[in-house]
Amino acid sequence: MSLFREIESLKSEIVDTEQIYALSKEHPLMSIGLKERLEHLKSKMESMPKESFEPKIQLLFSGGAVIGSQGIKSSFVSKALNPLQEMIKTQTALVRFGNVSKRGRQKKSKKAELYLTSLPIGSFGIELSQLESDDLLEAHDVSVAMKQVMDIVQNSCLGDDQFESMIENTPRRNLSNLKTFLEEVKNENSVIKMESGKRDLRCQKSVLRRHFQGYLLLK
Amino acid sequence: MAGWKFMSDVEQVENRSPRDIDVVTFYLSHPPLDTTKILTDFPEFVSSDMSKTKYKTDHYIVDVTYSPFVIVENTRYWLQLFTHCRNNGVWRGMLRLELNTDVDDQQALTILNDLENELVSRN
Repeated sequence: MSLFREIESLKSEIVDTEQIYALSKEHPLMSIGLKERLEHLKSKMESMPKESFEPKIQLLFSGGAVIGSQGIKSSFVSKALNPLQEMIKTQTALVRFGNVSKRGRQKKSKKAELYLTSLPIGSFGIELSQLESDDLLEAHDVSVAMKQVMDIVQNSCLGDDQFESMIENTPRRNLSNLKTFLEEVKNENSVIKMESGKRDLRCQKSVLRRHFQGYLLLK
Repeated sequence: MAGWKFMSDVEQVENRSPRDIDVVTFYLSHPPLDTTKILTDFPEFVSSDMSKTKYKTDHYIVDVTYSPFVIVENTRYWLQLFTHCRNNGVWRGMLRLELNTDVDDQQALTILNDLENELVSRN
């Protein structure tokens, strides 16, 4: 579970416990345990890390690619995952070495390989994690790269200024992967929700379509 | 000991021993309980912090004679909390045990004592 999801789940549990405590507050015995539980949950919330560098990213989709919380088209997953993984690899190289080649094969890095580690629901999605690293710095770099990829995707869904700025500041290799990724999402008329660490973003269909067309014009 | 694990299998899944067991007691307070006596003689019954420390049991209570709305809300709250694993949403089970069942309690104690003796004799 991502840190973002854990914090959201904890917030919801605190609200629910506050409600149940308010109902039982006048009871001389029931109120004691519930009050302790509430204090324990609030203290847990305060101790949650402010940022997570776990190399893990969750993507949730709605629209044509999925049927509610039941499943996701395997053909969509196979087409959409590759450009996303390539984007993360490219950004990881950028974080580590400061530059990337414009085209051609990237340096082979087995450790940058991502694994499908979970199928989160609500709607339906996938979780990708880096599993093979025992190097904390490398895991940190992949985690930072994941958040940068989220920024790239998010800027594709914001206003024209952010979109243009993203085009200017993103390696050409990743613009190409972004195009492939967005194309697959757009073809399935889907909404993307992404989570990594404490970050989350949501791209609406209409905005995605508009900017994707804008991106094609810029090409 | 071989057998099926009914509840979440943290020994296998998270490679650790269980920290505690979660228990919710639904009880009738007819005739009304002596609150002062409980708080003095058996505070672990009402304090989850104390029951966790003393018995490794995260224990909460629901007085089913208090208010129908509170019972409904408590049932909803504890069910949604304890029937799913928080980290992956997978269903897990709950056991319902009757209280004040002297014969069953005695049989359970006998089984536990037998198991303990078996383990001691193996070692």
